[in-house]
Amino acid sequence: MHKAKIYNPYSAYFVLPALVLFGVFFILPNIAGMVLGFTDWNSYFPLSPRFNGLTNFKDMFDSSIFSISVKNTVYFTLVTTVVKMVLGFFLALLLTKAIRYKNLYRTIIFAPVVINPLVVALIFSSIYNPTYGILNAFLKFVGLGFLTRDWLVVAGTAMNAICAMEIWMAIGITMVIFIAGIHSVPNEYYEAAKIDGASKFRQLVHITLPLTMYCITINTILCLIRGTSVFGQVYGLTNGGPADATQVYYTFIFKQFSQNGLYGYSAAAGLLFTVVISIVSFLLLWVFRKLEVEY
Amino acid sequence: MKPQSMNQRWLKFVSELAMLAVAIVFIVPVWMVFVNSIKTTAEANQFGIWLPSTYQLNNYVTIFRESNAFQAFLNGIYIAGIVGVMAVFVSSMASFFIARSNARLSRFSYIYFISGLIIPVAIIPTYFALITMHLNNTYIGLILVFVTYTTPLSIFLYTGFMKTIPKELDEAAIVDGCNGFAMFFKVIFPLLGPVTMTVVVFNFVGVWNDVMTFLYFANGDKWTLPMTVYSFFGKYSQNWNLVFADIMFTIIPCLLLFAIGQKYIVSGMTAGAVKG
Repeated sequence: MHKAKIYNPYSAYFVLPALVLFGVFFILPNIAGMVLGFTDWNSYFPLSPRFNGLTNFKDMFDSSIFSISVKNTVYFTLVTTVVKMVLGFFLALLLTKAIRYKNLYRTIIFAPVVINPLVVALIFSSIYNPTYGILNAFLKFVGLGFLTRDWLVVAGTAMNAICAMEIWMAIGITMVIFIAGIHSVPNEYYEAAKIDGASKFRQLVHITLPLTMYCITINTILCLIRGTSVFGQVYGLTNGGPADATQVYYTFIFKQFSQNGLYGYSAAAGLLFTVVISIVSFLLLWVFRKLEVEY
Repeated sequence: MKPQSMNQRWLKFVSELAMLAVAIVFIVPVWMVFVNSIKTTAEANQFGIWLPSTYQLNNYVTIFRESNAFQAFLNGIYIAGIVGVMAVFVSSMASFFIARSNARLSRFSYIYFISGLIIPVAIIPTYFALITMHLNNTYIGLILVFVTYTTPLSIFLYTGFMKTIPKELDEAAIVDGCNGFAMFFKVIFPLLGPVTMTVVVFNFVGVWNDVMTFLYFANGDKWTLPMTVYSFFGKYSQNWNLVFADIMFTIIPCLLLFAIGQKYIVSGMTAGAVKG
């Protein structure tokens, strides 16, 4: 007997549930966003959006809260990315050396990753408390009493206070990725360098850094995505206040959505975000790929 | 042991001192929460890090009486548990097809899902999709949205791992008379253990700690425990001992899960960071 077709065990039914789910709740919304962003969709008529051209985008660029939130998001992203990358790399270097209890240290630094950002924000709002908070108490204790202030209210420090909190809760991710990268560098390279008489510093610059370049790629992109889409941390700690001074992009969208019921307007803001972040991420990936070395 | 120079020993001492200081920065906040959760209101409102003068363990009883903490706890277990399990089946099956099939759909699917690692979620239009399907503010709506958000990373992890499983196993199973599904569930799926653990733990923690999905798509009665801590604080902002007790109750399950599953969370986070 001859079968016309060889039995193919890899049926498309395997991928079907995932394709449908991802299509309905990720791809379609992203496509719908390109339409909904140009409508007056709002909480009064939630099922009958009408086109209003570029009005949403015009309103957005005229809005002062929008420009504050863009500025804050960029600031937050840059500060947290740079600090997390530099400190995270040094922590990873230290914790791959012969230090006592290094596994315990890794666990302690990584642990805040599993705590909800809203809860972390609540803990930090007590730390930043102007009268009794442990930050001001510590500053007074070490004789830096002149630095104490109402961290979340004084202009200029509220945003930094949020950055510090984000670094506390997420530097573990950056560190763990660097540790994985440093461990994957073959030991022979260091041995060869030692025989050639290269100093520790030169080993770092010429072996560790280039061979962990892909970790730098991943960490940078993760930090950028996490930074630009920050929400819970700001929502929990200041909710954009005082007077919209710490508003970031996602809290801006949420405010337009929940308080003002401007769904079309917030969809427009979301669309702009998606386009900009996707382009920047793919560009960065492409640039970093060129910098990576094969070994 | 090699003899160490004076310089090296000094460097080591400084490094250890620095790590100790870093560790203190990470421990003190959590200690402060714990120690104040067993104080009186007046004492807790001063956020001291010293032991309480009188121990108030019944703060923990009060939070159960005064808030819906237990309901929220169950919500979290329910939603995060189902999402964890569904993510495993949906993603592992999809990855099996992607890793094994040579069809054009296979290559397309990989790009389709992996794009979700970079492209942000369109949260407002998703709200539109949910209200048109009458799924807004329902458990099923939340679960479907969460499972969708878990697919890119889970499929990435599963596909990478499945390529290391030899195809000869599939052929042997077919010769023994298995069809595609029996082959997958009896032969391949049991071998995916490590990735499955990562997918379950990682996604459970992800749902437990999610903020935006709950805020946009559900009312307070469907929120998880960490979400309700915030509304609890709204009511009891003058009683930090109760707020801290509520926070302890929220983070202890997470820290326990973390203690057990740290390895799996790390491998989820470092996916792609290890060259291969």
